Amino acid sequence: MKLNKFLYFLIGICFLTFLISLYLFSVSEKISFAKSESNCLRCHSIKRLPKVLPSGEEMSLYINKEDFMESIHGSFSCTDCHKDIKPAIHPRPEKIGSKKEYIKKVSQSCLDCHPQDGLSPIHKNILKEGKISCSECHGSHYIKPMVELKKIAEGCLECHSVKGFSTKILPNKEIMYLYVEKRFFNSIHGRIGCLFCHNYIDPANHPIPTQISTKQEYAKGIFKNCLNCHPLNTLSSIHKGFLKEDRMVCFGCHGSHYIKSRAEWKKETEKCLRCHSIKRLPKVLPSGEEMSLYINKEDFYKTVHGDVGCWVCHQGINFSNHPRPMRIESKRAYTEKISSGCFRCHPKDAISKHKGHAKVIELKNIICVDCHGYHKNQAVREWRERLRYQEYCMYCHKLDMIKTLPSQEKINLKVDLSQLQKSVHKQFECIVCHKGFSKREHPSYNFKNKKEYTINLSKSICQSCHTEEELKKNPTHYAVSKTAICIECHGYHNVKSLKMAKGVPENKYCMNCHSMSLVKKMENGEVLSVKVDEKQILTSAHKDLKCSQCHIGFSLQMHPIRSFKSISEYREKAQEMCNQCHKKESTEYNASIHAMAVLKGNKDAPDCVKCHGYHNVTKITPNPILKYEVCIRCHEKEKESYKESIHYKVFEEGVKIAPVCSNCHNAHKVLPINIAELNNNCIICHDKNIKKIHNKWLYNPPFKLESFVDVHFGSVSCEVCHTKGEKAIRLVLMLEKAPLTIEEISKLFNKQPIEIKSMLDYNEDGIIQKDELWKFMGSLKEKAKIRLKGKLVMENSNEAHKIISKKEAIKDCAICHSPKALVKGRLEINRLGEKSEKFELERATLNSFKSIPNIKDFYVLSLSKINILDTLFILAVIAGVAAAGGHIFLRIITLPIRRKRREDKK
Amino acid sequence: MKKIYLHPIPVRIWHWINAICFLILIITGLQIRWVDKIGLMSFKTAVKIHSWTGFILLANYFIWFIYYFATLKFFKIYLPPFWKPIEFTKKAFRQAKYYGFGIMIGDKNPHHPTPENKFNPLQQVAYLTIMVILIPLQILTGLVLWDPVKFSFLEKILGGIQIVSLIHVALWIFFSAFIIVHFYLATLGHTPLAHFIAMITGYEEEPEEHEETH
Repeated sequence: MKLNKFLYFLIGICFLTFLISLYLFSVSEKISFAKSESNCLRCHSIKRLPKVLPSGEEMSLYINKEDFMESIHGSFSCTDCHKDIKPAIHPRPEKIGSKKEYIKKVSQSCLDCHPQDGLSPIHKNILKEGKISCSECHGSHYIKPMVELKKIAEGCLECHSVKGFSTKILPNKEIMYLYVEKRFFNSIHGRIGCLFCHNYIDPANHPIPTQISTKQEYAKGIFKNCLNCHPLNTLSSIHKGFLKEDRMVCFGCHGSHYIKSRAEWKKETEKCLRCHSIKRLPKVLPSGEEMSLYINKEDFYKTVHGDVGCWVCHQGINFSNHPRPMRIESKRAYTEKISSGCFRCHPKDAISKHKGHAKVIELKNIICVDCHGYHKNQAVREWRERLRYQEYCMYCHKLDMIKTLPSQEKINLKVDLSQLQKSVHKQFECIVCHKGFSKREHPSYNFKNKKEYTINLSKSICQSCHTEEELKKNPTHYAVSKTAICIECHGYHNVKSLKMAKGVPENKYCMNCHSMSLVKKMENGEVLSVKVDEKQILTSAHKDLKCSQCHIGFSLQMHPIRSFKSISEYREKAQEMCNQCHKKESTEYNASIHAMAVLKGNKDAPDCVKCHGYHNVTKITPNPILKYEVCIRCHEKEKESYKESIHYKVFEEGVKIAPVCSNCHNAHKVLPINIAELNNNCIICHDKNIKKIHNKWLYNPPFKLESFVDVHFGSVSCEVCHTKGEKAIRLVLMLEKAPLTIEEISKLFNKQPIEIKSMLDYNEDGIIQKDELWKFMGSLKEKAKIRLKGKLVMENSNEAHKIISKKEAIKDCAICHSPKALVKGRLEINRLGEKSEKFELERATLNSFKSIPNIKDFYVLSLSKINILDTLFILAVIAGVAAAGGHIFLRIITLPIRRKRREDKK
Repeated sequence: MKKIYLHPIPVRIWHWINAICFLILIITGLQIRWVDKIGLMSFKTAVKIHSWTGFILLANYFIWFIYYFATLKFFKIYLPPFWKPIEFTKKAFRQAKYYGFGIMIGDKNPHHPTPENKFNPLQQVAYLTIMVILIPLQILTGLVLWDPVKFSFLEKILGGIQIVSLIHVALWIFFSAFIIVHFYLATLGHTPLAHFIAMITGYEEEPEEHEETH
């Protein structure tokens, strides 16, 4: 029995122990926690428990015990979160790199109780970003439920919703309204309260004024907090670009306190469209333009902007001021204004990846809506994929887009689609020719100038299909293709086939290419346009000629490739063409000073085409004005003196036979003045009886012989008597019948022309004295049979144009026939292809004895007399008188002898 | 005193016309050359007179020419006896000696003019040269200068207008001097006016005891 009692007792004790154990076990958690908590907080409730981290940061380890216990985590053990801490070995200092790092580490424990799957998308994004940890928003030890946050917010709004209170004047005098309406709670941020965004405000010591320097700066500070919950990587590319530009802050679009959800945006858009979907909603602008305010609701919703609504673009409009009419000057101005807003969301660098697009933006000729539309815009990607290349490219290239090349030449990139569609390439998409381009790629051609642009594109584009082998099938075409660029004949986008029907007239055949801007490059790099204006031919003197009649060697079958050193060489050949028919004129021209000048390489010197034109060949002779103008193009100075003449007076009066340049100087055989014998041309126009008329007073009695007039006509230029200027005796150095040129003299002496000048004028006083001339002539005569040809001319050749009326002409012989006549001396030495070299000549040269053998054929009575003969005359008279006188004297003194002899005889 | 009919009428006419023309030509020639120094007349007038006179002289030359060649007197009077050169030279020297010396000491003039032998050797040479070479040359060069185009062939023959002018002026100088000497020598008759009167009347008076010539 006792044993049973003991057993029962033992079992009872065991049971009790079990129960106690059970109890103890059941409370052990509490005990252990209490023990742990009391252990942790025993130390961590001490305020002065700092820890200096290796980074130098000071980390407070203090925890407000009461606050912690009140938090929703107050019932948890510290090590639930601080899993890294092992009470057995704590408080051995933990190795903590930085506060942030530690917080992040501890925040990992949050996910044990709040698994990621159960979190909102915003939370998921935040975690994905990994930049901020849970505790940064929810707090670390004093974690509060959402309700608490709202309560705090309500606390904030107790003050901030009072209208009068809520103004703050910033240091820069800006007024900052602190007023927040209570409708904040209705916004999507209403639930999280104020401190999520205004995280720097400590409710414990608020409303101590916060230091705010400017509104903008403050806004930027707050805006950074948006990114805490809406990290960058979760934002759309538009938002990213938008933030990258750093021009706007989030609430620029989304508002500050009353942040709207997409659903709300849509509601507002609905509200706008309630009116704007009415078709008859016109607005008449001050410019008189009618602007429709109608928007197709359905179309708009389909667009990429359908989701965001009206306000994104039309930012100036809100319901508080709308529908008060907005002042819009013109549709274009408004469009430009709204379009400039596109860059807010579509920053330039984001939309400039496509070079063509970047160029379009840069040019500013066209604005966004021109291409992307107003309210019906589509997602570019969608739009791009859907379009054909021709449509896609033409979206921009239908517009006038000017590309300025480095040479400053401008190229219009506009393509006329209608031309393209008429062309033989109408079936081709743009990229068939413009290789390297696609809907995604838009390389930029970097040619220096238009020429390089066209040549390179012709080669790279056309010849990729139209190969050399293909071109060689038609030798003419192949020859042309070597000198001309494809597009010059075939056009750019209006590419046309130039296949000629058999029997086509020759001129038409040639004009097929030559009506275009073809050029020919000379070996020296000069470029000659070989474009022919058919109209010019048709109005020319050659309108009835075939091309090949001038262009010998060319035909429907033949197009030889010719190479010329320079344009002047080409023009020489051109003269050969003229020579085929105009032999007389050509021969005359070849003898002219103009031809010599051309030969000498004077680029300005006239040849056939310079006066008569290339294809607009004109008959100059029947048209006095043309006759006049063709010369004065170059002879400006002569024109001025001609204008003072009586000839010009009648020309101006429109008299058809009025003499112009070529009447005196010849049209083709324009010779140097000193060999031209221009007097003969005066006679041609003037009265055929001109000699008789002159002979009335100009004769040598006893007979009135016209030959005496010829004497003067041959040695005096008409203008000497028929103009008022100063006269001169002109001596020209001649080799037999032709003038000896300075170039020839240079050869004879083996010296440079400049040396010849100093050889002649050896005292270098600018005047040729008689000794200088005779010495020069002496040396020259040793080398060649030369002489000086004399003529009475005008001192200044240009004065010769100023012909005066007949009444005013000189008739006084003594004007010239006097030793004291005001006639100067001039020596002229001709130059090849240039006006002659003129030297002032001492007049006394003509009176020197040596002028007799040197100027054999020229003598002006009295004026060019040999002075030494006058002395001889005096001596002879004296000698005669002296002989007689002397004889008389001798006879007188011998008179006594004679007398004596007579007397002796007697 | 015997009278010799030395100068037939054509000769006298020719002589005086010639003399007047010579004077006019010399003076107008001087005026043409010295238009700036002498103001006897205008250049144009001088030229006109010179040209007219020149042609008169030319016409006058033909009187002489026709007379002397038609009568063949030229060969007797003007042509020196070149077939007797030594004798002629001696005579010429004798004549020169007379003018240079004999005349001073009262020697008789070695030459006695007759209608067939009018000139002494010096006169013969001088007048032959003048009449056959110098006057024709002066006339021809004058013609070239009068109208160089018309007489361009002559100009070419003579070697250009400058040479033509040179010849013409040189002869002008010569004739200027000659006419002075000629005038002086004309005073060397038996009286100073004897030769002048002879050239007017045609009769040269020769004193029987004196023999002089001009």
